[in-house]
Amino acid sequence: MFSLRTCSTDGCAHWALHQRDVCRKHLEDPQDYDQETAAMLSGSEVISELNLSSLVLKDLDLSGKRIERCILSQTDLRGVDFSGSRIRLVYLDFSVLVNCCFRNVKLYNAVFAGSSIENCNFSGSDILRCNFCGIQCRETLFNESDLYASRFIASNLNRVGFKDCNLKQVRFEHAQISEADFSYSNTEDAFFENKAYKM
Amino acid sequence: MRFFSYFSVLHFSNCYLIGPDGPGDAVLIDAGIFDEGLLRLIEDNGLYVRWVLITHLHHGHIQGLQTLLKIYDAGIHAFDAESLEAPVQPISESKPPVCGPYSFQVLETPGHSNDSLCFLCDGMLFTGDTLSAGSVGHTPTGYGRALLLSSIRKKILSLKEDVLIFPGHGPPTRLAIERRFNPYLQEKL
Repeated sequence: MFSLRTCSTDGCAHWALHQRDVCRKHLEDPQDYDQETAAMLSGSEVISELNLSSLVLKDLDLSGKRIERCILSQTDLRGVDFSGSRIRLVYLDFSVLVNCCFRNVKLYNAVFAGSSIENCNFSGSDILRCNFCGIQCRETLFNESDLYASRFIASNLNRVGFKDCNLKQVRFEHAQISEADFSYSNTEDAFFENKAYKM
Repeated sequence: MRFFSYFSVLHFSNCYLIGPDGPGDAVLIDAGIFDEGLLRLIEDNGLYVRWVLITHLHHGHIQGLQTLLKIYDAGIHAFDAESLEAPVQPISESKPPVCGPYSFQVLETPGHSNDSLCFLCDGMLFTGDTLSAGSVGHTPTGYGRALLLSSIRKKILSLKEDVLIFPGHGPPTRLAIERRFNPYLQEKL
């Protein structure tokens, strides 16, 4: 279950952060909080049920972790290595991801919607039923990945690699796609047209 | 409180399970298909399905009910109490379900079907086929589409941006995402 507590500041409707009674906006020591949280994440094999919204992480090794039911919305992640991790039901929406490595990850029900994703590598991964709607994505690789039932609706994809991917039930409607490589992928099983989808 | 999502490959539909931290009575939202995987999820976590909330009576969301009722003595809650063979307790906005310690607000959202409901619980909104990531439910007519969009605008878009959305099909999303990127919600009525 998501650990959602409202910020203790009067009139604030945002959720309180993990191990704090306030949200990011009302945190007195945001940089200390980021450092403390980075150390906690590095030392944990399983990261679950945390609200870490607006966290700033740089050059951190989170490879091989199990990350479940976490809110990491509006985070700023640069040079973070998630390779080989299992990430399930995690919200990374409206975040900035630059030079992050998601190689050989198992992503299930993860939400990246509205994020800016640049120079990231998701190659060789299982990316099942993930939400990439509205992402601004450039110079990023999804090559040799299983993207089953993921959604890239209304996204902007520039110089993105989808080479040799499983695109079964993947939805790209209303996406702006330029210089993307879909070679060896089953594009016939994906949805590209701007029309309603029958549920 | 624990929360699980389960995906049925047969109808590409989701169902959701909410239960206590330890063993005990749980709520199942939709019963797409009651297969071995869902049974294992319930039993391995020491849960007993005591209440079932139905978002709407389309096949992909209720097919598992008969099997479920052979295993669990569960109360079925839906808007349309007449159309199912099983005993159903009718629910609506003015008559929300009573599910032990779990409190659900009911939103009536006709459009995809006349009996469509959404359930709001603890910052999580279960939307059935009304709204999904980047899309809305299928409607056979223009009137149905207008009704659906009107329901979404009046009942869902008025909620807090932080609300997490768990649809009947596809990946999870959040209200702030749908407001900004869902192409169907940019349409003018």
